Amino acid sequence: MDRDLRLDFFRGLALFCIFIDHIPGAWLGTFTIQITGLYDAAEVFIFISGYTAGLVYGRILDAEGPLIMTLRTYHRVWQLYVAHVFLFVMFMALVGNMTDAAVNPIYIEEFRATDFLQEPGTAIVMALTLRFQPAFMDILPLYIVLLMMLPLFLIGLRGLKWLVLAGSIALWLAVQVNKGIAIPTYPDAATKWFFNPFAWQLLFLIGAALGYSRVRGAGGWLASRWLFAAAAAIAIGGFLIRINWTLHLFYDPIPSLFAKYFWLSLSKTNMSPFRLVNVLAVVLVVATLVPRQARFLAHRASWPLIVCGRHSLHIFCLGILLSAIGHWIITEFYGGFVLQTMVVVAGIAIMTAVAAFMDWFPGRRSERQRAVAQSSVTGGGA
Amino acid sequence: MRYGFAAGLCARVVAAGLWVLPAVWDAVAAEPASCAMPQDRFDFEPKFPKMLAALDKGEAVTIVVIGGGSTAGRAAGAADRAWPARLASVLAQRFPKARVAVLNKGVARNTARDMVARFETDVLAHKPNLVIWETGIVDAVRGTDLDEFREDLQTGIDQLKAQVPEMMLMDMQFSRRSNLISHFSLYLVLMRGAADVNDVALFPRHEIMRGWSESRIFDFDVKGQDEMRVLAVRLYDCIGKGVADFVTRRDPVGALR
Repeated sequence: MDRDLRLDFFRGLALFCIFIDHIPGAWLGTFTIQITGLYDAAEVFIFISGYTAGLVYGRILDAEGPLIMTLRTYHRVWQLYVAHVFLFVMFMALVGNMTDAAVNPIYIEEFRATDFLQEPGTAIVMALTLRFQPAFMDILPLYIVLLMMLPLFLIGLRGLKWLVLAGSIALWLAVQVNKGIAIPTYPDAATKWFFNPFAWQLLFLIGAALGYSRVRGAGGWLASRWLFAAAAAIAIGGFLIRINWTLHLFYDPIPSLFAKYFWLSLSKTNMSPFRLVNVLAVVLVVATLVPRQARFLAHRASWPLIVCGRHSLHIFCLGILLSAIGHWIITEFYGGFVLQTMVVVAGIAIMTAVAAFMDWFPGRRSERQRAVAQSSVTGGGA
Repeated sequence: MRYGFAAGLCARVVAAGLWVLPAVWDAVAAEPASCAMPQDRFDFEPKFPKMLAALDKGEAVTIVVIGGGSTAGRAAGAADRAWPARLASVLAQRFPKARVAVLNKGVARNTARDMVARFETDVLAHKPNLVIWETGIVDAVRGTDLDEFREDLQTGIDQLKAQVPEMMLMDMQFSRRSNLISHFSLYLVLMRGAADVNDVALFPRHEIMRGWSESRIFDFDVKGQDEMRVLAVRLYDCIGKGVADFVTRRDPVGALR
């Protein structure tokens, strides 16, 4: 079965958007995926990762059984964990050398939160147990936890499909009702994981279930014309509301529709129902309108997205580091429009170059090694 | 949601221009350092007609500032150098007949929720004409759950709007490194959203300080105890003046041509 390039393409797009969104203040951040509805690149990334995981590990489950599938999944979890720890060390090196804010008395009352630098031993243990998540280090821990749940879920999907889905929805609903269902973080135990895994599991599991149903040749109901019409209506509605907010930002007298209502009910941490429904509707519309053989996927301009989407774990980690460095460059040199654009273009170029290298390098080895490398590099997505 | 993001876009485009044209940059830097702000940048912020009328009539006016460490102003060394005290002296100069009292209720390390808990005793008990709520830093740095921060802001705004004649918000201080430690910008955007959806004025301190830093009116990276105290004194003076200008904005004569 050849790869579905749409998955790589849109995951690459989400990766570029996450990179840009993580550079606070970069003007291009206004025009990333978030402009298209009440969700952003994180939802797209997690959905596609779930779908790919369902596809890849579902195929392994059917061909080689639950044990092998579980071992393969946990091998992937291990890779993600190592990547997260590596990222954390890089981050500590960056922040440890940039804590002027902590010693300047104008901020000293407020920036004592950098106290964790005083107890590196505890901080490292908290990072290893995923409790300590500095800014932008919160997506990989979420993905690790979600992937750890995957084997159980896939096995459940074989016979107890509706029970598993109902359980997942019930957990998500419980979080909507009681926001105390969360994982506390370090250094302040009163704060919580930025992405609540008990809420985000639903989006990931819906993705995985759809991916697995493709393996089994099920999912014909997705082609229903009524479903498409409903999804299109939701997608258009979300887009119109969101574009109205953007216009309001540019010119204040333009009223922002429903802003007061949505302001309190668009939780990203707990995956608000509006975000969930909107992103699923858009996924359905895009998947219906863009066929697998869509010509633009083969176009040269799509290649950077596809190649980055294909090596998404490495490119994601690289993107986090690049956005931290890019942010540093922009604040250090007071970069405006031009510098911001240059930083973003350079970052995307570096991500593409690294992904291209990863594509090319295994090809230099023997065919058998290549197959092994491919399956471990691209295994479960992320 | 990125309320307030594009609000700064224009400023950033200007900053871009400065970056491209070093000559312009130098010319700006060479000018005498003044922290005065062009008032047209606040065109879309709600004004404070009731308090302004009381000032014009020479009545007693009480302003309560509830906030954190940067309101308490310890960095400047003395309470009369904190920005609320500077605000009081500017208003006293401009409205000599009015009896202006600015009460400083800044407590370091307070979250938005801590402040809301103090509203009853520290704010409402004084029957203020205007309440200035300075908040956000501690929440952004410790990483208060965004939903909780949003709800705390909403609770506080609802309470103040119901019980005092006029109110405004003030966002965080600017620090070049703040975004490395936390999702600082998300909290800034959220405060802009709070002001926006509730139709409450917001004094964009972060954006203003960023502008001062970019145009080299201030150098926030100084080292040494004495230099930093001097910096704090000057900064709070500028903030106090800026807030005085902000709260006394008038509808331009012949507006809405």
